[in-house]
Amino acid sequence: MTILFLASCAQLHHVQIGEIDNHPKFVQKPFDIKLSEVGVDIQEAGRITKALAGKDSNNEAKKIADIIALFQMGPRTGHPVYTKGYAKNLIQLIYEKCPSGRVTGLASIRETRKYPVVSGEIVKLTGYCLLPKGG
Amino acid sequence: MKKLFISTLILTLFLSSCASVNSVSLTPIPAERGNKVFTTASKTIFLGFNFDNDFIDQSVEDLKRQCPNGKISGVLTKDENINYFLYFVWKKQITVTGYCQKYAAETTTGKK
Repeated sequence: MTILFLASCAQLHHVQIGEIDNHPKFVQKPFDIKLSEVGVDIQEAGRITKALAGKDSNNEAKKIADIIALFQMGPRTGHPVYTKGYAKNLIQLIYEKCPSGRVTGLASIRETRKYPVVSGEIVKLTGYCLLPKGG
Repeated sequence: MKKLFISTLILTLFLSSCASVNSVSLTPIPAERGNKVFTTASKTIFLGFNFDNDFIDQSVEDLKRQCPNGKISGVLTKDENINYFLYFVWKKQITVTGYCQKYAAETTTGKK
């Protein structure tokens, strides 16, 4: 039971690979950045509440889930998160990892780690920082 | 005849697949497009049980190997799902293509 609750399923939403510069005058130092925010599956929470609560509470739970769902319309990947700007500092984080700004082979991955009711909404970046040889 | 029909039907059902594109991205395309590089990475998922997406990580390394001392531009990344029999089994496939432009010999030797 514990394994069932703790095991996560990884769902891939988007992959993008950027230009790759193999310039012989530079060495490539790999880096990776991972940003994550908790997503909530309101529908699943509603279903669990329905299963656990009595009949009267069933309808209330469904109504609440439906009302919240009305405010979460539109295209999206994964489940809604309640911190909208969790990935906005990505560029700043890249500069921290690679102060020269010479970045290559940047792969950006958007994925979801699904657990019961909650999920990890992840943005992952891997890339290489170009450093001058002997510098 | 009936047996053959049923066998063909079952075989078709098992072997046919549906492909759908999840996302596509493209970086600026270079003028010189002579040397094309290509890599693909995939993972077969059974009943939706997938615990990581690490299969993508090798793609960049793969491309780098194909273009030593060069620059890969016009990188097209295609992320697609291929669903087999009744969605019990599906394949996540990442296909990356690009154009390799070698640096001039002077640059590689450090001469001006």
